[in-house]
Amino acid sequence: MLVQRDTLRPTPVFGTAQPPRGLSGALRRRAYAIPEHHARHWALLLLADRVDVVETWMREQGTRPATVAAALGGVILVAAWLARRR
Amino acid sequence: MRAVSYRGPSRLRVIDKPEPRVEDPGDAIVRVTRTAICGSDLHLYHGYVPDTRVGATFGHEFTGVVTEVGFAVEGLAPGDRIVVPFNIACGHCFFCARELYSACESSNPHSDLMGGVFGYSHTTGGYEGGQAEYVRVPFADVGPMKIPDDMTDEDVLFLSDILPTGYQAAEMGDIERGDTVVVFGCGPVGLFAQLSARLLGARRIIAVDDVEYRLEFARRHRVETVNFAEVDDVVARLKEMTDGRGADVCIDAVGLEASGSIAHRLLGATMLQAGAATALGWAIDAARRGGRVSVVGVYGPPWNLVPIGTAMNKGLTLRMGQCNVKRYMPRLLEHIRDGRIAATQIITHRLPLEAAPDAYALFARKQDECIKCVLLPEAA
Repeated sequence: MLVQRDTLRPTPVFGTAQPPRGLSGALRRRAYAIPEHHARHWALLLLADRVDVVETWMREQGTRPATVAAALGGVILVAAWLARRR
Repeated sequence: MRAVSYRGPSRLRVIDKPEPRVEDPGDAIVRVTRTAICGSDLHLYHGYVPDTRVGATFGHEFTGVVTEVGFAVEGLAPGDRIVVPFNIACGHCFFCARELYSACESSNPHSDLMGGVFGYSHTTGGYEGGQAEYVRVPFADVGPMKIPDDMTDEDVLFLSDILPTGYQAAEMGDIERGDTVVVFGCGPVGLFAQLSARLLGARRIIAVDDVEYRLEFARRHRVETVNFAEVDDVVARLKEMTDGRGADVCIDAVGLEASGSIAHRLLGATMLQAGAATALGWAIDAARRGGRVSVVGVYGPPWNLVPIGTAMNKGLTLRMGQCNVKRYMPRLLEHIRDGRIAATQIITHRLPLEAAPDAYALFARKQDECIKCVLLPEAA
């Protein structure tokens, strides 16, 4: 479970639907380290959503993990640029 | 069990998923009997809501039968028929104590924006939704309402969201007897907002949309209509209809996927703003000085282009928010029972859960005169 940085305490009840995974999960973890009042938080989440779609599609096609990583290399660069601009 | 699964913008599948289980002593497991597609589900479907993960099951409007409860649940038992509010609320936190159930601080660790919602991305808590055969309902003693024996599931299905949302939209407008109310949007929430405005004393109700069959539906309920695709300037037309002054109350029941402005659509599509705030801009422009604007159309973060200077200088009162469903359920149930609100009349399509991808496409494209789709899970 990811927790928004501004949250004062963990909530007693939470969803467990889709745990973060892969590159999109790493992007989500980075996004949740940025407060919500920064647009970068939302931009990274939207980026992670699109990466998640590509990752899932490639996984379903049986693509090798190394190929997935290479294909998404450009995305990492964009994400790193976004994340560093805090 | 079978459940709708998000695969990416405009792509859904119905797949096998593990059945939910009790994870907290206050949980109930519910076998879904009816589940509807909401206009705000389309924002998820089109990829506008941040942190919408592949594999998510949508659906926050549903009725069902309780099949299992956690040991702390006292008010429900297996076999009870219930309708479930879209808000997941604990019932006793700072916000719930003030009847602000949509802001519950005990159900959403992912965001400071709002409390938990069924099937509405991890931004609203990461809960699975009701477009499935079974769903886990947290805080089961708080939100769900038992369905009276003399009423069907469909009679009360829309108490879960769109009817209270439409009613709250009208209530936030502080409508006084004799007021003129303009409702932007003739989708299900807009239609219920029009009906609610009438119940609260509005003299004139004017509906604005560009979908002719929905405007025709409104006209059948004594609502004046403006098809914005057929007029040069919708705000000017509304002012003409209100003595040049503007409406006492304007309600935005559209949200971020509004038609009517190419500039807004372009900025929304390129993510330079969170969707198109066209209807909200019109609502501010068409309200009279000192008027009220009520917003229940859903907008996402981080920002939109809105004429806030116009609102400030006209002295408008802006009220907005996700609906606090539980607050309205009892009184609206009585309106339905007494025949003042025929909620089921907006249902145009009943389809099996397996047809969910087609139902979403139909609803999104407003084909086949679709106003509201209800899905019927196989297990129901």
